[in-house]
Amino acid sequence: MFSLIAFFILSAAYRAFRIRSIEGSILMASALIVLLGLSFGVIITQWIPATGLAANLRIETWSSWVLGVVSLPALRAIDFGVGLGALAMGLRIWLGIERGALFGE
Amino acid sequence: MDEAADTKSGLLWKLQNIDRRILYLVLLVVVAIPVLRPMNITNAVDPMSEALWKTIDATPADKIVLVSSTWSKATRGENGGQTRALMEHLMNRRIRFALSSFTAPGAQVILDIVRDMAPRYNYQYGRDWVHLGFQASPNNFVKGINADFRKTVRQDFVEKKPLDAFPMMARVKSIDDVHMVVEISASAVHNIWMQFIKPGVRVGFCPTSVMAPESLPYYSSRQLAGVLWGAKGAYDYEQLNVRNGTGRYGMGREYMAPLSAAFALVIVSITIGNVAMFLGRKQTRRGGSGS
Repeated sequence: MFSLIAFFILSAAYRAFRIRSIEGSILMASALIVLLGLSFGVIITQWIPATGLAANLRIETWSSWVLGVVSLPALRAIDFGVGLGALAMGLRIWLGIERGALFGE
Repeated sequence: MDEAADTKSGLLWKLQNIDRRILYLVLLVVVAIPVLRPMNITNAVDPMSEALWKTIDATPADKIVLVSSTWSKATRGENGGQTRALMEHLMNRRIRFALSSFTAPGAQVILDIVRDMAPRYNYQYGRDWVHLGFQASPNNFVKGINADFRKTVRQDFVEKKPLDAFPMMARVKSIDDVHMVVEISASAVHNIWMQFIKPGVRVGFCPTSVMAPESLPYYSSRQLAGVLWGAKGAYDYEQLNVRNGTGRYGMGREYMAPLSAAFALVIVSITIGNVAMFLGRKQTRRGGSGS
């Protein structure tokens, strides 16, 4: 049942992923790198040695870099943001400052 | 015919606006071919998968692995392959394990898989593995087994007997006797383990692909000992099993080719849409119709 999403992902990706700005280009480039790194894309750079300096040119290294260096800090920032937000809201309720949902107009 | 109508009938316009039903049909064909004719896909094993494999492989003889199964048939394509690959490894290395689940279907799906595989490896219930069953309160279960398995789980899932009835559990008193916990899940259940488990116990996570990025910060900070990234993670684990003689290929390899074919189609369709858009714009600037 979960796999039915594939049809909608294909249609949405085809329609939405159009390079109309620099930000759009960066988003598409990173998405392609991660997609290739997670699937058949490894074949493209298979001829490059897996060890040494040249290994940095392999698609899976690029994919790991995008996930580990670009995406990871953003995810961590979201986690911190959510945590701090929950803490702040907890304090507001605890101290009786937050009245909107329960007592507000 | 005016210019707008002429543009809409042009090839470049059509390539930018392919009917979704045609895309669905192409996807169906593209995915069906590798399903009907299985093929090998070249794969580079992810370090996160390797970390999980190595941690499980280093399980001492006097400890067990606790496998928590919080998934259902809806995510069988990813979690099923992960579970089978993991079980192949555990059974080949003769590592004893306990099963548990935070959802009722999760307890049954892993039981079906283990029952299917156990005879091949002469794995006996009670001697080599036990099933602790569905745990309705995840927080209390994790906090409970930190101190005492018997007080937390009154009876097992399969034979409905107290844990003392099973030889395997004779030396397993608390979480100190567990080398590693592996959570196979379609949701962010790893948080429960990381929040409540006794510090020092290794936690591995096998999520679906959509859930995997959420776990990256915890792998990076070493709160997770390893992560299997969806179907690719299952294939990674199978490759590690084959490479080290602790298992064979199965669902992971079977599902990787259709997945790769679908990814390829996504990339091709995005490229077609963009190339047509650029050429169309170029022609419009020159004063053409874009056809």
